[in-house]
Amino acid sequence: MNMSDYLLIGKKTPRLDGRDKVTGQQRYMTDLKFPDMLVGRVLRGKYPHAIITKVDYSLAEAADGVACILTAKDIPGVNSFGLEIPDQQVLCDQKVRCLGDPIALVIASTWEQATHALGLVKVDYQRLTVLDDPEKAIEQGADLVHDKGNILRHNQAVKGDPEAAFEKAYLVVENTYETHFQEHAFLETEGGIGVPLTNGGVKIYCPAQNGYHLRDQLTKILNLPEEKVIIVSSPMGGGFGGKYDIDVHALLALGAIKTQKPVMIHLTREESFTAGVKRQPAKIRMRTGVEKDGRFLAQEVSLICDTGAYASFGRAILSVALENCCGVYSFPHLKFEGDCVYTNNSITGAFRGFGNNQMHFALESQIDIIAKELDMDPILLRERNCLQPGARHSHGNLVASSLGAVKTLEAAKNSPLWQKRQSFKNVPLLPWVKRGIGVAICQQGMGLGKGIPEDTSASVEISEEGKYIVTVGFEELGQGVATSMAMIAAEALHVDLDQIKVVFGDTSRVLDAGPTTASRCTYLGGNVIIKAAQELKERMSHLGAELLGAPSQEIVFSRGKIRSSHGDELDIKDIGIQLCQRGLAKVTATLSMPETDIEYDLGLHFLHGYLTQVVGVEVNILTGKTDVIITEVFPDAGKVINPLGYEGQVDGGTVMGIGYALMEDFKTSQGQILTKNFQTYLIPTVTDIPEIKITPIEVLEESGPFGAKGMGEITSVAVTPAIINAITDATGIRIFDLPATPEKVYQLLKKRKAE
Amino acid sequence: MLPINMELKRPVTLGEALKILDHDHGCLHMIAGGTDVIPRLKDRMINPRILMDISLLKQELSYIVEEKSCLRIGSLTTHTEISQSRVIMGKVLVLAQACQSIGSKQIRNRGTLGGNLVNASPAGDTLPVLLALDARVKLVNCEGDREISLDQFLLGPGKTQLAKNEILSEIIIPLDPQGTIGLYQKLGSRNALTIAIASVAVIKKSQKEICIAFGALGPRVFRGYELEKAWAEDPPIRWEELKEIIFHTVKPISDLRASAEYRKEMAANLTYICLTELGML
Repeated sequence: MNMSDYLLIGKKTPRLDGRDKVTGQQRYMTDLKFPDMLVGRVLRGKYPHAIITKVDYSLAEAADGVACILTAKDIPGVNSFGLEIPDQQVLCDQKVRCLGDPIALVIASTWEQATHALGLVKVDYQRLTVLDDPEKAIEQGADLVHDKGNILRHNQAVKGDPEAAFEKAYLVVENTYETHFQEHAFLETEGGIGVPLTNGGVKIYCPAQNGYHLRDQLTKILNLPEEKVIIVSSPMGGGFGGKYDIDVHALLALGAIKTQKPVMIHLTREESFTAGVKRQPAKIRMRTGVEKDGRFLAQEVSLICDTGAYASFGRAILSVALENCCGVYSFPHLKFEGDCVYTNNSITGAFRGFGNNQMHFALESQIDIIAKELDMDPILLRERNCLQPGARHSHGNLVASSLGAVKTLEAAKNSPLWQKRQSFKNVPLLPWVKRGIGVAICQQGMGLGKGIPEDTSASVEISEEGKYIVTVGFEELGQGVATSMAMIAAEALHVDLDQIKVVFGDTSRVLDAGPTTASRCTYLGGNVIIKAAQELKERMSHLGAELLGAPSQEIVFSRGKIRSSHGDELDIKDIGIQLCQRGLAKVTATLSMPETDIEYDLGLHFLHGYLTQVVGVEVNILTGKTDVIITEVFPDAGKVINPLGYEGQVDGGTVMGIGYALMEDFKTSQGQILTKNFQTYLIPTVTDIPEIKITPIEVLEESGPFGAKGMGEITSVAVTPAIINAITDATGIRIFDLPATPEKVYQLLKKRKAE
Repeated sequence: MLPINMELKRPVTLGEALKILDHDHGCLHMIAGGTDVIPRLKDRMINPRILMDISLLKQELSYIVEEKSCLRIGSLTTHTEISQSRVIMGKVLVLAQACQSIGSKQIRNRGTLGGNLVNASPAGDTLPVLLALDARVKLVNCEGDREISLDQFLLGPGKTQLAKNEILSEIIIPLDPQGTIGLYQKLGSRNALTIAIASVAVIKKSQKEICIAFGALGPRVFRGYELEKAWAEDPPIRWEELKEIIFHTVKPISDLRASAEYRKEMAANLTYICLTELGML
């Protein structure tokens, strides 16, 4: 099908929720108000690692306006939860393992009263040694964060004969790279409202990136059957992976059930910084052996990453990081090992890119270093080693043939910025400003990886008004999934967008679609909706044929009507009424992600997106400050569903990657948080953002909806190493630990000058 | 959280405000634009019984008036008003530049010049420029007023000569008949909404005469008098020697934003940038 044949796909389509959001009409969960609503505030541990010896609530309980104080004793079910393993307590009763661990929930009539009462609770602690360095935490005899040991996951594997390959390599490059905590910095901090139901259950209005998974965990904590726990989880003011974990959800439910009144909790920015998950810091040692012509021979990677006090998604993040240790390149010999380690630092978890940003920072820096050593063009070196369509990944696993990596490199090579990089660099500027160009390529797996079930269900229904209702359990994080789903449904049904209503983010109204993560929604949701829509169309044809007395293969759909070959017509509305009466109006479909073929120590992916990014920077060598001036982005996410949403993802991902590269630095010391809010934790403002030019490289994925793949995460990955490579191009210095703050760049420049 | 039991007073004339101040100054805090006061209230760094909002005095205390030999700026004039004023742009462009570098648009719309001075942050953006311009401030109380130099006014971080019963009403900038040429250089970790890691203001009086002030490089914003003197020497002093003077003049601290060592070097490098861009090096 040609692009022009599509009704909607590939056409710039404004977001369905755009007007409401821009005008401030949109009500988020934390904007909702209920009569007699109480306010909860969380009592959090003061120390990163301590035994709770005594808690005295007497003064707080007697304080003005206090309805009740909930502790571990008030939990009817299990006092534990976790996305991978239940190692986290809803309310801690014996030990706190990181700053901000919750101990009690104070519920009062007003926020001020609850806050006042919080200050009246007296907690005695016996402080324990704080483990703040994952390398020290894995040493023999280290204190334990959890009884079962400090190593959450260890992986290792060898392919081929890496040692022999390093022996015969023309060049061996070995470096260590370090990355830091990054804060999601969503606009809407964690929060919501718990409302008691008359059946003894509870309804939670609270952002969550997987309403169903949350419900599963809550039923265990609350000791309630599924039907008595309803989660309304969308829309939310940003997620980026940071709203996947349970934060206040269980407390909202407990509070509402206990008080039998609506209870609101909304974290302050400082609490969100303290209690929310972060991007995992990683230390990556990388040894790469290459031949004289630049062909890669062997890759050896060892990785240690910090999951903080609890597992969250630590195991899966380690897996994704290790899976990507060869990136888009073919390495005949490979050896890797990795540990994900408990410490008393802030909890780390899902964050756009999911372990991939860290690994690609190391890998794509390493490739540039090799190119320099070989005196080879950095794009040529990448092309020489890049996986071709049909190839297996370096771990030996089969991947989808929509492998557009080489095409994105080719497009980058032919881009004006790369072609004219010398003239970009030679533009006359102040003598202390140096320009540089950097490039990086990345890949990102779609879906949860082999071995993790991810059935996705959705339904398409025709109403008695002849309109279509699409229900899908994805969450609207701000990424625009509802609009994409509506477009795909409209295209599949061949109707205008205004004929579609999308229902999402409410466990009482939608089916389980799995998590809204891992760049999986457009692909899986799109396919499921198409499947359901086709089935519904078939039912409509059959019914139409029956009513018109014509064979169903002769039935044609035309806006708002169906027609037989004789020209007899029926209004879609009539079909809708009939299907509703017969109980056939709603079609449900379920699909899962295609899996790769081999069983492996890691959960490998079959489907990937690819992206090459070229960045131009200016570095002030008198201050060390870097400005990103321009960037050109070449993503292969398959078919573009909505160019506006696509551009939004690239813009947003680029901004996050710039922040990660240059300024965002969540600082801690001995488990205490130093950057408590946006005064000291800096994220880019509009003045730090360059011109972003986007060229989609549409390598169609035959199994995807209209050829589409996912693209939520990949946009944040390549930009960071591209900036770091551009800084080297401009100044000759190399950043091995992020972020490249002015001070760090300046000190390296100074050191090099001294040498 | 804002303090619960706080009384808000909103005088509509300067006289009324001074009367309130005279009566209640022991437990009162003033608020104008609120861009510094509100965060400090929330952080409980201050906990006043009375908050006196002087923003209604704008009619009396917001103006930019050019006189023969000086500019008079009302203390409630906002950073936006200053950075967009034709008079300021014509006479002391460097002040418009400094005001434009403050915070974000929202902060510049609320924040006032007087507030920036009274807050006396070592990193305050208008302070180095005003100090290098030899600005004076007018302080008023019930009995009358006094005028002192900004250099006398600033004592330390958050500390000034402002007495508890006084309001800073006006900033006076002496004008050079030749016109004022100057430059403000501010280094932050990002391009806007950032607190200076280090800042330098240089006013060029003539090729042999400069006034220079440093921000975020000591407990208060201060003048580099020794450097100014050295600059005037004949034969001209070498840059390496000037750098040495800067190094021992500045007294920066290490904090989350930057180390003292880096700040010290930035004092020199930002000065170098100013002098070079002003065509003096």
